Amino acid sequence: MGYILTEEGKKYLKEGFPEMRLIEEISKGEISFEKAKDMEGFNIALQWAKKNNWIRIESGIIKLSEEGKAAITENKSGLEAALGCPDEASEDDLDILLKRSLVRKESGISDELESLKGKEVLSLTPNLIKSGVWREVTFRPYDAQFTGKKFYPGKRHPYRNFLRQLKEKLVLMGFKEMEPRFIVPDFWNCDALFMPQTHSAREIHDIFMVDAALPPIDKNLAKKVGDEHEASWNYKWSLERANKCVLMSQGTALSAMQLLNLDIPGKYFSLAKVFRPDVVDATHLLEFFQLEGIVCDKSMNFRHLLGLLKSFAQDIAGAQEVKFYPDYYPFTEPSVQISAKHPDLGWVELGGAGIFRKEVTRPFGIEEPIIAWGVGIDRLAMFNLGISDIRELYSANLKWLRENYYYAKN
Amino acid sequence: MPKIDVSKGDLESLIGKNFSEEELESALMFAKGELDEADGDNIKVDIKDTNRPDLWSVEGMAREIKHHLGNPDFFEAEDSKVVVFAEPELKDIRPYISCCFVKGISFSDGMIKDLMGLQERLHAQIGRNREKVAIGISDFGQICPDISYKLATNDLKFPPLGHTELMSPKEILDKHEKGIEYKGLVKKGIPILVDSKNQVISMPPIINSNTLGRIDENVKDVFIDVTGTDKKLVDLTLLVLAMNFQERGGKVYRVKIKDFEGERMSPDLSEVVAQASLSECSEICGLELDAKTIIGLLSRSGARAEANGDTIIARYPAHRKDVFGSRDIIEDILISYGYNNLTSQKPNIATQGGESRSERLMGVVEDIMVGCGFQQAISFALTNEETENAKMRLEGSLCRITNPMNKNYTAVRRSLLPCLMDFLSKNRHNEFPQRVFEAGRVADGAGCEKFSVSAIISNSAVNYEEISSILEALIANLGFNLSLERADDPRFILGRCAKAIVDGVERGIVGEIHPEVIQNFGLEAPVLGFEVELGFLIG
Repeated sequence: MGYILTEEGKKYLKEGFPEMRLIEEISKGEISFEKAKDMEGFNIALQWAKKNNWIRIESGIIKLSEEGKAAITENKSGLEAALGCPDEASEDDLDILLKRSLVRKESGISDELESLKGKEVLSLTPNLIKSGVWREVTFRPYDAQFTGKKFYPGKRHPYRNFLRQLKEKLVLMGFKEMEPRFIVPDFWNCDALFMPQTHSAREIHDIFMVDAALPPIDKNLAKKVGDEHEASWNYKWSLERANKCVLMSQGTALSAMQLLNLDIPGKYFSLAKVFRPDVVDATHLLEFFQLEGIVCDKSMNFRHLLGLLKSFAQDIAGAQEVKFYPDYYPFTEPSVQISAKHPDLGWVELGGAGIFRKEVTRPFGIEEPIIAWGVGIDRLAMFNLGISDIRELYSANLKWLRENYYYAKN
Repeated sequence: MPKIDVSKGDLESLIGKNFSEEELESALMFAKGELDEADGDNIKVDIKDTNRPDLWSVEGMAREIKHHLGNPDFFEAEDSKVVVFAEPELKDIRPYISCCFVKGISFSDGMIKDLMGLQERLHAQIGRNREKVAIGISDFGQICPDISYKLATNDLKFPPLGHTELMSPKEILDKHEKGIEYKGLVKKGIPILVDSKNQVISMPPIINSNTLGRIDENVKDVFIDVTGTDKKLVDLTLLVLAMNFQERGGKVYRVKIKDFEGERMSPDLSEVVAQASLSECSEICGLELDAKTIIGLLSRSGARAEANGDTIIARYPAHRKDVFGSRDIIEDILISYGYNNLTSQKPNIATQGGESRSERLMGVVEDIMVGCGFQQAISFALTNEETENAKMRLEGSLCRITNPMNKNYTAVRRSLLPCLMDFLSKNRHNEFPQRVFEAGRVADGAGCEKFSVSAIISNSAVNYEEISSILEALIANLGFNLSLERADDPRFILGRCAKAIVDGVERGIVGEIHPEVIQNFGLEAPVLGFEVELGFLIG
């Protein structure tokens, strides 16, 4: 471990310490303070000369003291010797030199660094950078054309990315997301949507029932809904049946729940998982995502509904051309189906919609029209992800997941 | 949504007009139909309305389209003197019956096939597999009225359809394929329909007689019986069949039903009346509509409408039992106007959008795990007992499906760690290390839904700290404090497992997976894992 001179230290070694130059000047004849001020490094010189008791100032004149005279006689201060050879200097002197930033510690591998000069090195090191020796070495070339061992970053699942992008589009259109659920009382899944308990879509082959203990439906609301059923469908409505828990089989269940707490005007959507008993194959799963929602405002009419569907076709399916067909849902009247001309898939049935029946909204005390819509996303998702078997939407093939560069494609 | 095979030529001759494919597509919209396939004369039509059985046949489509083309064909029926006596004892077994007969039909092969198709659709879609509604069609020429609907006695033998030997009702239930299939519907007693000579017409809801109840091209007059448990649907089904026979040139005769409720003529032809205000029609349609326009549009849907001040009163024929109120009227106005003739309008409502709270927070969890270098997995929400319990060396309750379809999916997932173990089992031959996570919704045994995150690392050699440090990073970056406390859990190796305590509350588990669990999933490499319930974050 050694010490080397700083730029200032080198200057002092060559020209002498400023306080020495000051007293040498004074020793040639007393000088007034005013005149001495013009000397180079006067402030430093004055500070140290005073500290060493080499001078005194009387009536604006700087005078040499006895110690000052002695310093000149000896011709060299101890410090000058120390600066000449800092490695051998006393600790006190070294301390002062360090404090005055005239020397600094030199790194311990100077010899080793020295030996690298002019050579080809393998690694660039912090010492090479700090010492500046990097200027005097060359670096061994790598095979810069080699990408190295395959690296797999952490990533979201491609299907999840697709769903998140859809969601972002809906949010940008001003839709608020409804909290998804797996398990709901059948009341929300069917009864509140005016589907009679005798409806064929409520049979054991169409809805999964579960053993669950969820809070029962509010009795007042249940009665209002039950009354609508009995008035129109000609059967005895059962609250017990409505309280049975099911796996949500249609996303509209969430829209029905939203009627309890609806902002008017309001726009809501859900991208929720729904469940249907089926045989699992390349085109069917027991569970899938449904994009659904409602729009409520006193000004809403059927032409707005068509306009909304058209904008979904454009924004979600990238379709310019659409066709509307009369359709049927138990909970909407009038009802419509939209087909859209996808740029690659051709005409696809994109979704369905309608205006909630009065029988649906009346029990909630809502008089404003509510547009309810649903968009099928599976085919679009499969197309986007480049897969032909619906089961692959949930792919657990790590190789495929690692090599699926979803962001690049979209 | 019944899809119906139709002969284009047949449809055109019923309507009395030929169509190009494009014209046909627009015309079918009046009948809520979509042209699904077209291959020469064979076309397939998807009728969207599951609440309009009158449209589920070529005759029904033709009838609706004729109305819209301004060439309506109204249903007419003459009252006959024929009586059907329904014994009161059937009240608790199969209470309702409606009948009529039709004269002067010329059956063709295609008509018989179409008729059988419609019968099947009616049985399946609204009949709840013959329980609510079952249809019998017989040769009226062989029947001697009056007719009795009563309980069968076992000495009453007859040849069931497709057989020549005489069988008793009991034998039919035991031996005949239809008897075996539907015997569950007649546990409390077997209904039977006989004429005045005690000849069996049919044994509803199971089978017709092979003599009186057989339809072929020689039959000119038919007798239709519809029985069931839902009076409205029984009568509607009869009416639909009767109307179709009229489309085919038959003349329909009503019969008198005497049952436990009294006397009535069937089919019931009383009109369905509904009303809507002019302003509601205009507001919902988004069109300025006057009464005259509305009345004109409704007449094309087969309704006779009139205006009374601001109110439109629409009288629909009896088969329009789907009409409940104003919105049904409005849909008919719009269909007559033509959905594709409307100019669409963008709804102009300014609202603020946003993700749901749980979805937003789950997104944050995903961001951190992806940042930690983990691949996201998404698993099915449905699982089974073996994966959740047996393979994981656990016991405990699950939210079970009471009507499962498939033994692999019998319950809602309770945790994500088994899903990730299952994920690993599908990737035994892919490159290691494998670092995978899943964040999502789970449900406990009572069906209470929670949010969970789980992650696993599998490699030829693993070190506990690799996973505990990730868990710490996750919890810290969510803004909470994690501490670990030694735990004994059957899923993990004893001494290499800890409870995850988040802000003082136990929330999950972390450790090195037990070798037996690893083997249960058919794996060979060591696995580290954690699972944490996110109640502290999403609660």
